[in-house]
Amino acid sequence: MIKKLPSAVIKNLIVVVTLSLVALQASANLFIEINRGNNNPTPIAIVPFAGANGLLEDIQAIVSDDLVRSGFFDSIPKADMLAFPKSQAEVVYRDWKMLGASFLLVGELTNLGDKYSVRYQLFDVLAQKPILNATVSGGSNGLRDIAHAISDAVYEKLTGIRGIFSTKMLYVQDLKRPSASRYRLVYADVDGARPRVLLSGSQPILSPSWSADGKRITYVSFETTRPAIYIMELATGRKTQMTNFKGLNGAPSFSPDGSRLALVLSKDGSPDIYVLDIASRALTRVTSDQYIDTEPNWSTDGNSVIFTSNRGGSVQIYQVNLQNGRPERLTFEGDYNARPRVSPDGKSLVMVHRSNGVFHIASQDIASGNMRILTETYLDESPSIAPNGAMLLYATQHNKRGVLGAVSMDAGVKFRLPSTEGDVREPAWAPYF
Amino acid sequence: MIDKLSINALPITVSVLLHGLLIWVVVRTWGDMAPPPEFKQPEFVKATLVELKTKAPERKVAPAPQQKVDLDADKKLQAAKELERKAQEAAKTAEAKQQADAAAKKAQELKAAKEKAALETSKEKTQKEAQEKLKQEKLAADRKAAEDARKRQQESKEKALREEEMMVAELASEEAVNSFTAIFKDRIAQKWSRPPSARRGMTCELVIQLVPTGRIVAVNIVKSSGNEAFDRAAEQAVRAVEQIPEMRDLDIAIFEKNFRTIHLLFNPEDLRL
Repeated sequence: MIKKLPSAVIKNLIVVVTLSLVALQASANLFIEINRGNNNPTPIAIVPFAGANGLLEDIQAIVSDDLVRSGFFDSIPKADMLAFPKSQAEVVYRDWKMLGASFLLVGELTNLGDKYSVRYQLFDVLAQKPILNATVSGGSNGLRDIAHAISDAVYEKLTGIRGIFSTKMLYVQDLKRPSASRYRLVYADVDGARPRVLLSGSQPILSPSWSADGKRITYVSFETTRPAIYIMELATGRKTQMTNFKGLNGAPSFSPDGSRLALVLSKDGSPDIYVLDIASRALTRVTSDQYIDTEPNWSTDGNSVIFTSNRGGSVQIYQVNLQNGRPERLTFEGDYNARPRVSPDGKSLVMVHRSNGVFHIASQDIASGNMRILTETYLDESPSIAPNGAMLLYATQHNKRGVLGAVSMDAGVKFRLPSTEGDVREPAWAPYF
Repeated sequence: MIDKLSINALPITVSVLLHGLLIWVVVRTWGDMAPPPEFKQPEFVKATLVELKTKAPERKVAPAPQQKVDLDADKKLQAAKELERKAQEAAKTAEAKQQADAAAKKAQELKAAKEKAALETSKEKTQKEAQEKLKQEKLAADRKAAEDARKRQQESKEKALREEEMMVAELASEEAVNSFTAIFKDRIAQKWSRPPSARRGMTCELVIQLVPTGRIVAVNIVKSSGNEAFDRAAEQAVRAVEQIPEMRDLDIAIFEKNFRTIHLLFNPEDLRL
């Protein structure tokens, strides 16, 4: 009996080990591949921040609007919330899970007299753990900046893409009635809030665009009764007229290093592309032919200029190398592709594309030439890419008025910016400052 | 004494040599016999497998003749030995008679004859023994083959039964794996909301642990996509599924075998970018 026992034990052990090995082997074999998902927004609960009651701006609402407009989030209504925790100690994950929240944002605002400070925490409700813990502060008139900074941090944490909620834009507004300030160049938050008129006049303003560092803008104004190109320093508001040539002076675009402008002049006949050195005012002609060459935009390396031309019989986009002056056609789909803008990563182009007589915004992968139509509205024009490359702004028509629209680069998210008085057109999304 | 010795020197040498030869022969054959050269060629055993049913009943009869044969062999051996001894004795007496004559020639002739006789007897003996041995071995092998065949038959029967059972279980298991794989794919897809930074070609691998109620009790990323947001979205999709209630009705053995630990590969093929 004593002799038998160990052998029995060993036998059992062997059986157990063998079985577990078999089980291990079998379970290691079950491998499921998930190829599909959904494009539903992710539910996030943004709790009203403690200590933020009665302020001029509703931080919770601003953050919520920012995140919802990104298309990736769905905000859980305040009215559904069972509690308003302000820190991790007060968070009951189960409650938020029952509400369907995947993430939870809580925070507390402190009034420091001349400024505000907000400490906020982001939680993964399903994994039941905090994933972001930060503090942001701003001046007494900077509540919107604080809110956008929180939106940016949350967005970046959860999407892997830098947020654009704190960025700015320019656009041209036309009040459509004769007055001393009918045409305006407006500087605003990218959500349309806090518009500031940089320039106004009775004559048209066209083609605003940014320098890469966001410190200067360039535009075309008819204020001297004929079109001229200007550069304005944003900090001081100081304007410098750069061109005053006979004929067309248009579509200025800063080189990536900010030292040159690519522009269109018709002083020698048909419109051609030129490069102007800002410091020396030295002018270099890039194209010279009898066709219309216009809307220049720089490649990210600054070595070439991408422009629109009708030289091939239809309106298409070309790229010209500034060293050898040789142009190369980039677009082949359809009979009209114009107004190119290069994405911040330099990998794609956005443009105005006409198909079946309707103008859309389309993007094209430069390497493969694959084109995707991003918008479905009517008369879309002037695409301008966000500095994170994830979205673009464009001008479109709504109720017979010019308004601004935004669309994600995968075309999954589209929304219109709140309309203002008159027509709004030619948006220019600012770079990161 | 010395005279006698010298006179007897030749016959004694002959006798000693003869004995030595005999002992050598016996020892050698014995040595060969000690490890019975088993006929364990598998081909042979396999060949008899076909007749296993008819051979099985004969098994009882088999040992009896074997024992008889053994006895006979002993008897024969003894007889052979007896003969040997007698021959030796005869030789001795013959030698004694011829001692008086002490003719060297005769002695030499006798020696030659004796050697011849001894050689013949020993040859006969070894042949007989070898035959016996072969007979025995063949019998033993036959017996063993029959036994093995019987065992094999039983084993294969049991194995077939087991295999059938396993096949049925395997089928049930496979069916469960297929249907639950579909369930997993569907439920997770419903919950998997990809971040805008997700791109085709990004993959991440998760290992999840389940309990027999179908509840997912652990989620671990074993291979990151390199994109934290992408990884988190995959993990959240699994956590949002929480439980596969249908798994409660699953056979526990099938559960243990397939669903205790599952690898999930997130590989979006439906993205636009």
